[in-house]
Amino acid sequence: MKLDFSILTVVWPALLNGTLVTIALTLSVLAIATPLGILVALGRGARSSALRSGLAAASWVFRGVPPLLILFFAFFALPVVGVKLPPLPSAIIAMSAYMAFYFGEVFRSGLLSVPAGQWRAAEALGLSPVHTLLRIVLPQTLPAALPPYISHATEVLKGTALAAAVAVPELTSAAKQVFVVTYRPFEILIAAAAIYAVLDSALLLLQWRGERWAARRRAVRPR
Amino acid sequence: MTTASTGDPMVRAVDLHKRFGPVTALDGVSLDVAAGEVVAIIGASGSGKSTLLSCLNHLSPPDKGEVWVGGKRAGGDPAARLSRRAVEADLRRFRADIGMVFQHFNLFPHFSVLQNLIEAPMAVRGRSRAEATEHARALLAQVGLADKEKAFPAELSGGQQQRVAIARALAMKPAVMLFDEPTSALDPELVDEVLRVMRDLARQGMTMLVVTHEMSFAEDVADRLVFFDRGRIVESGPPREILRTPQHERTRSFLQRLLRRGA
Amino acid sequence: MNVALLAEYGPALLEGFVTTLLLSAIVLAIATPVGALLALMRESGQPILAAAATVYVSVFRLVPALLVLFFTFYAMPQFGIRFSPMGAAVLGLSIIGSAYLSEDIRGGLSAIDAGQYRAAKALGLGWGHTMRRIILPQAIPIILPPYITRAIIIVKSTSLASIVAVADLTGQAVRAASITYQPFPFLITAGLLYLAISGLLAVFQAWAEHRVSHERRVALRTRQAGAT
Repeated sequence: MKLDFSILTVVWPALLNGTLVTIALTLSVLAIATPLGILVALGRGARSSALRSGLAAASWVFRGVPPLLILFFAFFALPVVGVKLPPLPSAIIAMSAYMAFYFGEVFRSGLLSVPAGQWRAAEALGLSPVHTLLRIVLPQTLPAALPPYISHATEVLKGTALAAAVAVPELTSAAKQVFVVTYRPFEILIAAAAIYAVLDSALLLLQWRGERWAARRRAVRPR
Repeated sequence: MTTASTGDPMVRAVDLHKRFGPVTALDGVSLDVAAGEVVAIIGASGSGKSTLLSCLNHLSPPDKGEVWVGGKRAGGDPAARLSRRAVEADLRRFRADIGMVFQHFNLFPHFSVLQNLIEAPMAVRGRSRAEATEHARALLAQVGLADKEKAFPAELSGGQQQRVAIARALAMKPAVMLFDEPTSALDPELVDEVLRVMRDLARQGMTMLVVTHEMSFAEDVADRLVFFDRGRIVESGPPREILRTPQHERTRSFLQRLLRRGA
Repeated sequence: MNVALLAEYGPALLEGFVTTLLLSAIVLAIATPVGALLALMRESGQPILAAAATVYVSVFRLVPALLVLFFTFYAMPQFGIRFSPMGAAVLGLSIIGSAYLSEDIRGGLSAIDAGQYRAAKALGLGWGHTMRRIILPQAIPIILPPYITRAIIIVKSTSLASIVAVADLTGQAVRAASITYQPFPFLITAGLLYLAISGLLAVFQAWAEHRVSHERRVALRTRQAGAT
């Protein structure tokens, strides 16, 4: 069969809509899961051992189960307990839930990478614990946490394709909608793949910029 | 400058005890330091001298004993029965009056030199940015780094970093300065620039406690030398006397070892 | 009631579990050698081989795995190539898995000191011999922990096969959940079975990591002993 990419001139509005949903879904999940991930990381270093082990267990469960299963869980199980949500919000909840724990791991190793001397120096200056965390410690986790954070962010982006399975009209789902009626899956999937590649590359570009920014502010390792 | 104290001492430590698990780091240490006095603290590593400094500003609070600085008691008056939160707030104010310089500098690597100096004065002392910046620039000039305010710590030599760290502590206008082996992590050729800044500071009348292995600095600058061993003050007095004619056997053997190492 | 339901759908869930295990095993069996080959191509120093492998790895790491499954399942028939759901899933997941695995393997290869390559070259050893006898034996212990992390991700990714009509563990659990309107027993059972697989692999990983750190300590000690 001959390839015919002219089909794209017909189906592009559907792909564009799908792309916008994919971007919205990605940004929503990042906006929710990032602060939650910081809280998870802080909680895993908390004084309360119940909180610590509870979070460690939850982290193990959410990262040990396929993301798709968690999406199905939100899609099928939330209505049973009385939470009736449209597909998009329930997908956002499910993806934010498991990403919070993936990000939690990233930020936890980031926090551990900040030398204890930084906490001591801030304490010696009389800075409050909250000020120390927000201004001194968290910014310093960035050089260590940024590369894995961005690589997880690209996983969020690619992971939004799973939402196609629970009726969210994102890019993969939109592509399927149009190729089942046009019988041109190859051309349309290539177009969708190209869009994902561009979005992913934008995130990777951000990482490259971020690494250069962080390089100047890198920690000074005493000899 | 004399060691004779007039009125209350600037720093008063009373019967400090501190254990880390099975290790006794401080075993009943009492020490008075007069305003403007420079005290050099020497002793083998692990003898408890660094622990003394972190107990003085309560970075690690003593298990037992009291610390007074400038007439204020660390952690407030126990009779006031403050809540834990109130005690911690009091300790933060207490620490803000004590400058601390660390062996490994502990500059904030993500801040420029200037930001390192103005962060705490603005956040803790409530100074305006303009005010804090003006003071910071004066301090940078004093430590000879006026041209480095925009640099980041990683771009400075060890000696420059330690001078910035001293300026950062001074930016809080502390009543006392604690130095925890400030030159031990430096290459030999960078030691002098840091000691010069500390000498100037002593000349200006700053009250200083310096844990150090630099015997010539201790001899020239300190008003008093304190020799630490196994968590206790073994000997204390004018540096020249202790270095020339140590009374205690442990002091003698420590100084001999130091001489043999060629320090 | 849940017990009765589980009894009724238990055999289907078990069948799904076996399918998931089988799918995971086949995908790993294909993706591992392909990933190793891609890594060796990128380290080979041959510009054309290296470029081809780089393009393959970059492209398939930029697109969602589900999209690749849609290619093998929906788009290949456009060229007259028709796979069963299982065949399409195996192909799609192996393509993606090999791209990621090659990165893990390459990471291990580049952890080997460049002096090892130079020393082998100085002794007149060929590239194949150097890889087989000098580099790989040192790299495999380093590669093992990230390899198992990746294997766990690949096992979890097999759940995507349910979207292209493979009756794997996720597929069977979702089917039972939607027929009975009882999502909890089936989805939770499926979750526990996935946890059992990743848990088992994680235990193996901890053991491997322990061994590697031990071997590294020994190697370091030998190196230090040699230096003094």
